[in-house]
Amino acid sequence: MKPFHYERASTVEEACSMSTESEESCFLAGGTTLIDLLKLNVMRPAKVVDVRNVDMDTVDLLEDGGILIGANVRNSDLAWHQKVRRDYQALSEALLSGASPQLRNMATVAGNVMQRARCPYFRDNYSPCNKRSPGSGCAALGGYARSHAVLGTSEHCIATHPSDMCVALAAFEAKVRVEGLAGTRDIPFSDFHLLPGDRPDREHAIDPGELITGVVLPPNVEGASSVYLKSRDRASYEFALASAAVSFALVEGRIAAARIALGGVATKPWRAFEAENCLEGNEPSSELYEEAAALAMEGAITQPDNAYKVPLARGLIVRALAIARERVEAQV
Amino acid sequence: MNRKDGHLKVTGAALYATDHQREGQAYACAAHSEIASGELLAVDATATLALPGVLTVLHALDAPKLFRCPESLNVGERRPPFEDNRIYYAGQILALVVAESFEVARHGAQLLELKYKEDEQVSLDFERDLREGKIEQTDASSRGQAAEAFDRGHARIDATYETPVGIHCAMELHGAVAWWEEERLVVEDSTQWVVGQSKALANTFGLPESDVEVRSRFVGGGFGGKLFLWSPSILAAEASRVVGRPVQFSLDRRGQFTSAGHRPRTRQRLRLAADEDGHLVSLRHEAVNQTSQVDQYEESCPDVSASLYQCPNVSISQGVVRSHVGTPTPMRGPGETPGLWALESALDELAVELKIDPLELRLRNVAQRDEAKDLPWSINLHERCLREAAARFGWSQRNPEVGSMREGSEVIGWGIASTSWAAMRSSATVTVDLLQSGKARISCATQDIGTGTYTVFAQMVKELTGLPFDSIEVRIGNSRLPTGPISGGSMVTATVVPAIAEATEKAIDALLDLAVAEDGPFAGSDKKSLRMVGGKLCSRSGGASRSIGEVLESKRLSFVSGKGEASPGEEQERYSFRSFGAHCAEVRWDAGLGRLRVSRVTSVIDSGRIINLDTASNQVYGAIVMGVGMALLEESVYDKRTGRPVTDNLADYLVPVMTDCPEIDLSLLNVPDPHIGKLGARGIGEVGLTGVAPAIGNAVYHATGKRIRTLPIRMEDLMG
Repeated sequence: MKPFHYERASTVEEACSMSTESEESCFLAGGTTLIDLLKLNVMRPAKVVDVRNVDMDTVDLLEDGGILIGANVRNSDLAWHQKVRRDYQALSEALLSGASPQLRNMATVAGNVMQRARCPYFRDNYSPCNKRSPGSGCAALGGYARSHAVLGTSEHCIATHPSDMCVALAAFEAKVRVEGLAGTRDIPFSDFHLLPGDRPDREHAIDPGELITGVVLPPNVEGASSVYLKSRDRASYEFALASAAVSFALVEGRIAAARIALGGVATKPWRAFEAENCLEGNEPSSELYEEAAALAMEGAITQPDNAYKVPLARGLIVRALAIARERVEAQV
Repeated sequence: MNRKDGHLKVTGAALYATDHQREGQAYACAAHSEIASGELLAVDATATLALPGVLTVLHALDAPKLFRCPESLNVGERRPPFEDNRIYYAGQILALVVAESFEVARHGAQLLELKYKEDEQVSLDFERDLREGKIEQTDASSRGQAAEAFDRGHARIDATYETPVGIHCAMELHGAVAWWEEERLVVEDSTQWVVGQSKALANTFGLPESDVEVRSRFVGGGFGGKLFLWSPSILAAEASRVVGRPVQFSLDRRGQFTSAGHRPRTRQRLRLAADEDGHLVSLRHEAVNQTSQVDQYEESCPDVSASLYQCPNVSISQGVVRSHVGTPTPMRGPGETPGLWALESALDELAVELKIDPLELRLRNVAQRDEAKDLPWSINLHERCLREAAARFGWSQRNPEVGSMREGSEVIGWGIASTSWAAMRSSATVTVDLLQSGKARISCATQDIGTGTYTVFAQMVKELTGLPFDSIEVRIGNSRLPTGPISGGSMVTATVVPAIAEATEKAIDALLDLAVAEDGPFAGSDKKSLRMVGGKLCSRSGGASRSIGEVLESKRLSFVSGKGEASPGEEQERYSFRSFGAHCAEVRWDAGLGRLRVSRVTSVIDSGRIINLDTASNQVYGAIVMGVGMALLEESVYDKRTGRPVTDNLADYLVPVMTDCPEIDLSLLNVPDPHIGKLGARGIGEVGLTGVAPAIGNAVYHATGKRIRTLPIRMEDLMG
């Protein structure tokens, strides 16, 4: 671990100006990703700005019926928040399926949005990795890629986005609120994480000196139910090999406001828009679910080790849609 | 009864090796090789040495010479660190930075610039090496005519099974704090063998054995990984010698995956043939395991196949393939664990072929004697274990048709496998002191690796003296105590318990001598008329009792001692000793979710007399969970291009977590072995693990119809 300057901010403004003073700075919240990567010498910031004392740790109800989740809200607090449990069930389930209780007690919402790749070649600090060391190559291609992405990949990077929470946030069309010295802006969730393309080192649509202060969730659709399903080898404490967050409502027996987002299979939290369109306005049936699932995984590019992810994710989508339907019907 | 070490451990008062803090202690951190084969050409330590707090940098190009240990002494890696500039595997330790703090040492290690010359010839691909026949045959034996009998068999199986590299994954890393007192070396260590560790360090540093003291009061998990000497203890001692201060050095978690042993990868071909009634007529088991460039480690997979079942025509062989990996080492149930994966899977395949229930097939082939050693069994309750496990599990309700048992979206499978472990004994010397304070003290240079040795020893003395459990002090975990055994091969209990009994009896006898002597409290009485009850001496005919203290006071003595020695005797030539058992496993497979889980395991095991049911059961529960990991999760993956481990941390190398633990129904038969030694205890450390993985694999077949012969069994193996 390279020594770094440590400063503690107590307001957003302070955090932003502390951060802009140094080119290589990063924010510290729960530390569950950053501290690991510092110790592994993968991240070597000159300055770490601790934002844990910045007052942004509440979940506020918004007038439109949505919620504003403070950046410092702990994963476990959010998972057990009453409103989240009732209206955004997939978000609660996604949070509780992630990491371990100890990590969830530390990890924050903004930190989870900024979570970095779990690719072993990114973390080992000596393999070629375009994310860690731009232009050096991608050791995962042709290497051990069982956990790697099949959607949104490029010839420069196939690292999976590891977050569970972000998959649910994508499905609920969240916005990421960022504040900087230039002001505040809300970034739509599907624009926040960038595809690797030829610059896998650029992961977010956030500018230097900007701090995530919260996540805005729009009100859930009337009568909609949601579910998060996650598949992995062991029963707990493992990143998703594939996961699906789905949500829809039934209007006169037909699917409305369908949302499907995928995790564990893509380089960013993945919205399956075409699959959603396929569901929209149709009567739910297993055949329809299969069709949507197939559309969601169309265009997948697999490696020898991870081809199983395509049928796996399809199966999860189908099962998640079936569970969501049961939940919608149970509401009535 | 509470565990002796329980309170210390749950309150954090138990100090493990690197918890020790010495005055003036310095810290070391290693730099590991990034290449798998080649030479270290140069080490540029300029930036490291410029860091405030860095004391020194040791490396292979500039290090004092360390010695090898003789072949007669088992060590982890025969070649000591820094012997020369050759690189034999990725992760090999090439340099060590010693500094005022751990953080500075680690930063210093990260700043080192190592220059390599990489070899063009690198052996990293086990499969290719096997194809090209790079196998060194190490062992073979046979009886009868296996090949001819196979050809005549009514039903035949010819299949190949594989097991991956397994990592012990003890919670506590390999690490030590070492310092020198004049010419004498003292090491706070984490080892399963304090006696061996001190011998090996004495050889490495060219010291008399009496000048090395290895302490290991608590061990945070070993599983075989800490049986023998590995580089951390050597490097802590070497660094301490150089800087003249106590030095702490520990591998980091990544280092555990390259530089402290592992269960080697194996490939095993099984050929079985049976007659129409399901009696085995031919068994051939050929195994190959990967080993390192520097050591020839054999994972003796086929040995168990030669004796577990009755079969007139048997041939087994073992070979190794040298690769650019670190040296393998025993991991819980070495040999038997991967060996039974192959044998018990193949038997299941044979049962399917014969259309005989797999339980029935095993019952028909139970060995009446050890045909490999040509000796009668000391005792063999294999059949009883099989029958009782099946009964407890509900085996008779099993529908043999594949995929026929369902519940909701899950398909259920039931599998059975035998388990077995050779019961071994070693030698031990024990002293038991009865103290003026009325307490007892037992001393032996063995160690408690978390399995309850402290507790079992105290319990033995309590039973023989009647002293309260809390009045018995157990002194183990120090190489200077009377020589005791290695905590390996499930030997400690079987080895030491008879010696404790003898030492305790002798101590009591010595106390009796004092009691009946002139001036003694029972002066003039016949020794035989006295006995020890509740920690006091009294006459068999009643009357006043006298405490240990009162007896010793009569001679102004502080304590009286008894010494016990036990070692394997002539019984080893007359009988074959093995523990047997049976595991039944239930798995559930949900194809839509890609979810494979073990929901239930029933195990019935005979390992002789059980001294302490809690600590014994605890070991078997842990072993069964380890078996779940072996069957479904654990694999140390190496990048084929570079030879570096890819899954080198506890998030990527998967061991079971609590939610993976099946419901476990365990029965330990608790039948004393009539011949193994005074109390008939055989040890329980390994037999819980061997056989678990095939029981699970056989259940997976019953659920899905897919015969997976390569571990671990993963969702992608079952999909589609």
